[in-house]
Amino acid sequence: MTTTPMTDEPRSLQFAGAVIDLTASREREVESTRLAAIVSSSDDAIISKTLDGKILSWNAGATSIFGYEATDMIGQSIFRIIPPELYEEEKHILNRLRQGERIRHYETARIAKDGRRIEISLTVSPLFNKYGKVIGASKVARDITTSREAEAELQRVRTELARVARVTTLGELTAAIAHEVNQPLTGVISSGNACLRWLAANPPNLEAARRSVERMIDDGNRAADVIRRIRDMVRKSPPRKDAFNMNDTIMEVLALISTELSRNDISPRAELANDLPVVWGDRIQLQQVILNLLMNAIEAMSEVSPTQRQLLIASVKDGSNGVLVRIQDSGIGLDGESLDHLFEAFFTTKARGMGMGLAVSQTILQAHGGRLWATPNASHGATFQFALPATGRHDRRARAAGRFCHR
Amino acid sequence: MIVAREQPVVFVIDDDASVRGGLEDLLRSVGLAVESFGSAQEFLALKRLDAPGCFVLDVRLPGASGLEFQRVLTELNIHLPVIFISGHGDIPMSVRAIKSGAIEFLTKPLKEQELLDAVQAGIERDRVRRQEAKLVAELRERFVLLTSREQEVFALVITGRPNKQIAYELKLSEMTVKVHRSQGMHKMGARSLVDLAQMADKLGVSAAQAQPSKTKP
Repeated sequence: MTTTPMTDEPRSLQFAGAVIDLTASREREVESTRLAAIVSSSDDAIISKTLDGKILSWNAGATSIFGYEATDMIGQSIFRIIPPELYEEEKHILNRLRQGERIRHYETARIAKDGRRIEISLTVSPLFNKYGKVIGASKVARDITTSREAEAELQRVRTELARVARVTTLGELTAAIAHEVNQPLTGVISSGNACLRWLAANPPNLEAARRSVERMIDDGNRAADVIRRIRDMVRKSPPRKDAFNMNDTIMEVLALISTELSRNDISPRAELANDLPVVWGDRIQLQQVILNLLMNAIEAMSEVSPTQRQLLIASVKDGSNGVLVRIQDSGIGLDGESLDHLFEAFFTTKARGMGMGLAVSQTILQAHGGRLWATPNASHGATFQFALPATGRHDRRARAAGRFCHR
Repeated sequence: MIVAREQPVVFVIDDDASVRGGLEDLLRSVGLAVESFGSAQEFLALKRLDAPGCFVLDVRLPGASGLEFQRVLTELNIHLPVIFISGHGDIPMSVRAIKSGAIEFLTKPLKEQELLDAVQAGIERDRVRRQEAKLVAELRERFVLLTSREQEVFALVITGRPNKQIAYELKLSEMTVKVHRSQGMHKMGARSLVDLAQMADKLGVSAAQAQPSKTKP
């Protein structure tokens, strides 16, 4: 409240006054101080900008995430921290804001002052003037690089674990089978040798020879039992049936081996068809097939010059409802003899290979009613292809759909 | 109970009936006697035959491993040579087996000739060892028939010392030494000094054994 005496006359003291209620204004002041404190102490970047992207405010959180000081950025364009390939995305966001839309938890990337690429989660809200017109935007950005990296690392470890588990199980299984079959085989061979001796004796000991042959038959049956038990065991675990998009699976595998690819100076080219039908099958198993084929391709190219390493993975619709995946490399290729034995267990052209990868891949595809084959390329390298037929049978689809609904 | 028999016996120990059956058959077809067991315990529970022979032993026995069993046998004073058989060609294990005195380490399925050769070698090694042991036992029987004086003279004679020196060391007359010496040679059945020295070697007798009586007053 301000008062001013109007005259100097003591008796007729008059006041002209304006009484303003300051309570609301003071509350606003306190509130804005409080908000400013929150904004400045936040670990998240809180930035406001005009609709054409000019930065109006830049808090300490923004400085710590992006590396630029407020004085560097205020008045500058927000495009300074946006990777060039995401300019269109930012323009699209600004358009949506113009229409008063709010964008929540949008994951994208930004470039920090030191050139680092930062993964962020973004929430952008339009700022309105008192007439309700959108005049700018405030954005809150959170650095999720670390959690993204952790996620990727977790995924990598999981895949590695799955691979090791697969190889170990296979190795152990092979050793166990070898041992189980070896015992009766030892019996068969020893009895067979004994039998020859009984027959060669003078006079031949036919009774002993007959007993040797009987023992050989028993042992032979026992070996056959071992094989039958293993077959039964394998049959008892039918592959899971999932509905999935083959392109997604291809991209997942490419992401998994991205380190491996860059370490070998290979930039893979993916030509993925848009009209692929949904695939029915064991997603993990088919992922392993793709992984296996890509790893083979990488290995096949390790001996050719880095400039000549070319890897193509393509998906196309096959027939009316099938999917065909093609993996083409520019590696050392396949000779005629290798082609004949490629899919046999324990056949390998690698110094440290077990010769199980392609045999297992083949089995997986056969279990899915598909097939896997290889052809040498006209110039360099080899092409592996697998085809999965249309398996979307009605009852199966209905059952799977039911299962998904319960989730 | 020990039953004396000169016919060699092969002891097969393997937990697998097919392997046991086949090996029994094969070894019998070449005229060998075979006794087979499913475990080391089964073998140890049985009366032992006093005959030359060898073991055909699976490396992976139930309970104690084949290598441990080999140690137990040594402790029990059973010196039959061992041929190991294994389902897995485990190189470190085969090296250990051979180092601990095994004749052979064979991988299943067994090659007939390799097995038969190893068994023959095992039996031969055991026959030689048994003859040696028998000879030592006989010598020991003779040696205990010597008087303690004769044993003292024996111990010094084999070092090549002349009678005069032996007499001096044992404070005896040279004549007495001569008598003990010829008595000892006669009782031991030695035809010459070289013969006697070889016997001493087998018995483990040395000049040191003459020492205790030297200190006697």
